[in-house]
Amino acid sequence: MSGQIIATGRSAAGMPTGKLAVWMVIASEIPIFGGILASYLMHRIGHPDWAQMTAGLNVWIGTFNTALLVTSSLFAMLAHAAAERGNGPLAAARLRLAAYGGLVFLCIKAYEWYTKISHDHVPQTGTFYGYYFSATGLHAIHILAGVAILLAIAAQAEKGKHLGRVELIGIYWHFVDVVWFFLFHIFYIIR
Amino acid sequence: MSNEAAALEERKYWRIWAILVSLPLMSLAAQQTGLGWLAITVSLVVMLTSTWFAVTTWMHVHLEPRYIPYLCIMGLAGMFMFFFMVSPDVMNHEGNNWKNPSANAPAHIERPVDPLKPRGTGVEAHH
Repeated sequence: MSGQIIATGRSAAGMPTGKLAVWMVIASEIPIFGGILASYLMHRIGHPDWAQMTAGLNVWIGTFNTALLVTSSLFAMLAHAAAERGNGPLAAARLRLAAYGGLVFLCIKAYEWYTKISHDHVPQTGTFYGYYFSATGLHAIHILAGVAILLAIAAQAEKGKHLGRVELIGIYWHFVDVVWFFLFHIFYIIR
Repeated sequence: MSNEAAALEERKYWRIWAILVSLPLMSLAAQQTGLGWLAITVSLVVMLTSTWFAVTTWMHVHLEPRYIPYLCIMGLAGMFMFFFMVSPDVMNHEGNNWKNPSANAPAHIERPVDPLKPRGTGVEAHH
């Protein structure tokens, strides 16, 4: 055999293999994030005194980060629309904007963590901070991975290659956005 | 897709973006009123509405084969099963053939409490 065969679609699945993989990743992520949040909620109900600690979180920064992530998701969606029209360079530019949104989100999150840690609020301080750092840290890792993939796919899209992947990273990026909706409300809004 | 159709589609995405940005602002406004029940109610509505918008209009889950939503629902079912299997052990201090003595430890140790009962030192429970 001279050519390498790469499976891009399966008739039994009814969708491209990559897309199926992304949805399987998302389906497996739901119990991970959901488990952390459900576990936090059951402890939160049992600890009314945690209200003082949630009050220490900066709700304005949380709201700004939410708007930032939603805007970043919008650019991922617009990149998908451009890719569907076969406009690789435009899709790449929009994917990069989405990635920059994710990077700014991470910088703001790092600042938030820095202020918490500088006030001796570390995971060992108590269960609340254990949950806070675990949940937001796991989410930040997902953002970091998403930014790397967004930039990698943008580099391919710029050359007009693998435009189908623009949609795949978009689905993942929207999921990360949805997770943040829950984190934002459960940690920052509900006190 | 024609240019007009594409522009129309993109305008739709911008409208959804406006909704998704304004919904958290509603939660923020509810929280700033200082009414806990209002913040919780608005947060629940906003969380579910935002998720619904993002999943249906951006992730286009309804356009995927039917087993994809089922796959995600199975993940959610796993999460709920975890919650309802574990929460009685976390939120109660005793049950059938088990006790959690550390839950009745002195107040300075962080421990689960029953929100419906006034908080004490826990020592009274032994007497």
